[in-house]
Amino acid sequence: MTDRKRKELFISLLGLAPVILVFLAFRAYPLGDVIYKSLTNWDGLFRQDFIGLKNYARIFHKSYFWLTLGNCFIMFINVPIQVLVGLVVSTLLYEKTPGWRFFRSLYYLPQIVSAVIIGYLFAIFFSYGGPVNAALRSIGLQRFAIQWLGNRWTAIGVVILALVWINIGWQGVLMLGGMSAISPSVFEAAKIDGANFFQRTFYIMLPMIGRVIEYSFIYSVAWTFTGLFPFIYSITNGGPGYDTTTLDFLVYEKAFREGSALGEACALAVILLAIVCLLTLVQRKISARANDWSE
Amino acid sequence: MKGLKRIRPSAVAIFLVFAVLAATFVFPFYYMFANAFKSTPEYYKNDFKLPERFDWSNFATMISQFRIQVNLLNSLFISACSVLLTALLGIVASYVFAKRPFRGSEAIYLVIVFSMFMPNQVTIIPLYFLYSKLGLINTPYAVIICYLAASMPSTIMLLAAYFKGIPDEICEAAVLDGCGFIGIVRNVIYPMGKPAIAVNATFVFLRTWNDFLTPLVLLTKKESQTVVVALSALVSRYQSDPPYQMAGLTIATVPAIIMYLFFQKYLVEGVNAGSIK
Repeated sequence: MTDRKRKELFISLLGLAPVILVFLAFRAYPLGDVIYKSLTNWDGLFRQDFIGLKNYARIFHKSYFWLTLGNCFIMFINVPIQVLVGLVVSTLLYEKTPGWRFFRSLYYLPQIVSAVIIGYLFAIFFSYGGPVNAALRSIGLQRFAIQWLGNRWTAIGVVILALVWINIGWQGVLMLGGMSAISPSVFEAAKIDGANFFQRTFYIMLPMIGRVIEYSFIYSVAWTFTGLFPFIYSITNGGPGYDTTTLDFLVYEKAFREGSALGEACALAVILLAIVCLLTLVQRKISARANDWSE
Repeated sequence: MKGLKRIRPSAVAIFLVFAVLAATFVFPFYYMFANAFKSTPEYYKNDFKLPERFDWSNFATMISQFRIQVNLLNSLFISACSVLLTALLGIVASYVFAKRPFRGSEAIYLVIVFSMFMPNQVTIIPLYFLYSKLGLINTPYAVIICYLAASMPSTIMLLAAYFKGIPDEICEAAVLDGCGFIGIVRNVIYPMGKPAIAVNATFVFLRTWNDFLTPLVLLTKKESQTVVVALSALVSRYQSDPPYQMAGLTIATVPAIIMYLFFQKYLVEGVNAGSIK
């Protein structure tokens, strides 16, 4: 019997072996390597001496690092906006007006197109001679037909608009799924008790999809730190200067465009990872506490 | 026809809101398609109108000079291999996690799933240097391996949860019929898990087709690049020729839209199963 059990265990392990190997070689090893190299003065060629935390100290003294970090936190504005718009859209979709399936599919469309392509479309739309400025001029608002991408604040505004726009459909589908999981009898009971549309939405719907909203928040915040690269690359290329550079873009810039101070680039990557982990943990704590209160 | 339903005024209002929002989603794609068929002078005359006649010459140049078909094939090869390998390894591993748990399997599962939060920017620097040592830069295999590793967490999360719902009795019956490990995977898990496997394959395909950072770093030669990466070079090179840019964007977008039309149902299911974007 124990022989058979041992054999079964061996087969199970054999089934997991490829996944574990891939994980160790292409996730765990690079993670360890990036942390180790962040402590060296690695230049990609021969030099690789241990220098402790000097890379980190150097990064914390650079003004562009703080500018970049600030940009990341400004970009966070996209999260509440996209959650809010997604909630409104899904609440309306839930009413199942004619054509709601078509609208749901249409709003989801940007999700299946490459983020770089969406980014280039936004760059073309908001270029100086682009359709947005043409439309503004044609309705007599020449004053507002500006170099959208040539100025820090309007450029960040365009990026945030792109982030919200691309995610409306995802939020809508996600939250509509959460709403559809609520038993319709709950709403019918509320209707019989005389609750109107707004009461049903605010006192029943929102509390009951709290978990989904929480998931969407946690995911979107982490995404804002790690998923902006293609948008920044195509819309602003990080510029002017470092004015619209985000941390994930900075890692690429330092490692693969400048490519000499690779130890420093590794340190930036480690900082990025630490921030993402920290944010996810903090959010989990907060939402766990919020759930305690609601019960 | 059962006769007209009473139309509520609120339904009309909601419909209008949706229609206005829909216009912002249709217009950029309309603009992209319409201008892809124009000549440059026609574009500068009026970029909002439909083209006077559908001129395919932008696409023809794209094929004859830019050789975009090579990049389309690269993308197809990379995405197809990623989907197949992810499915193969994912199904087997998820079956073990779901139906043959052993001491420590839960811990392995958690470590793999939590690595989902690790951004690609963290691993790409060491991987670039690892691949150059192995001589894999500018080969599709470098990218495929990256995708395989990066897709595993969400794949295993989705498939293991779904496989847990397959009744144990069916697996036991298969054992009595003489099925071994591979027999159960092939005759029970695969056919019964098909819906989840299809959802996952759709997401892996779209994610790998559209991904940017990994192929941008690992594929530096034009002939080896994916269509999205090759396109980014094209768009910056033809700043003064927007119709040409639009034709390139269209070529990279259309395959994804076709996938979407066929597999939309799976995408909605996938988003609601969580963990997938």
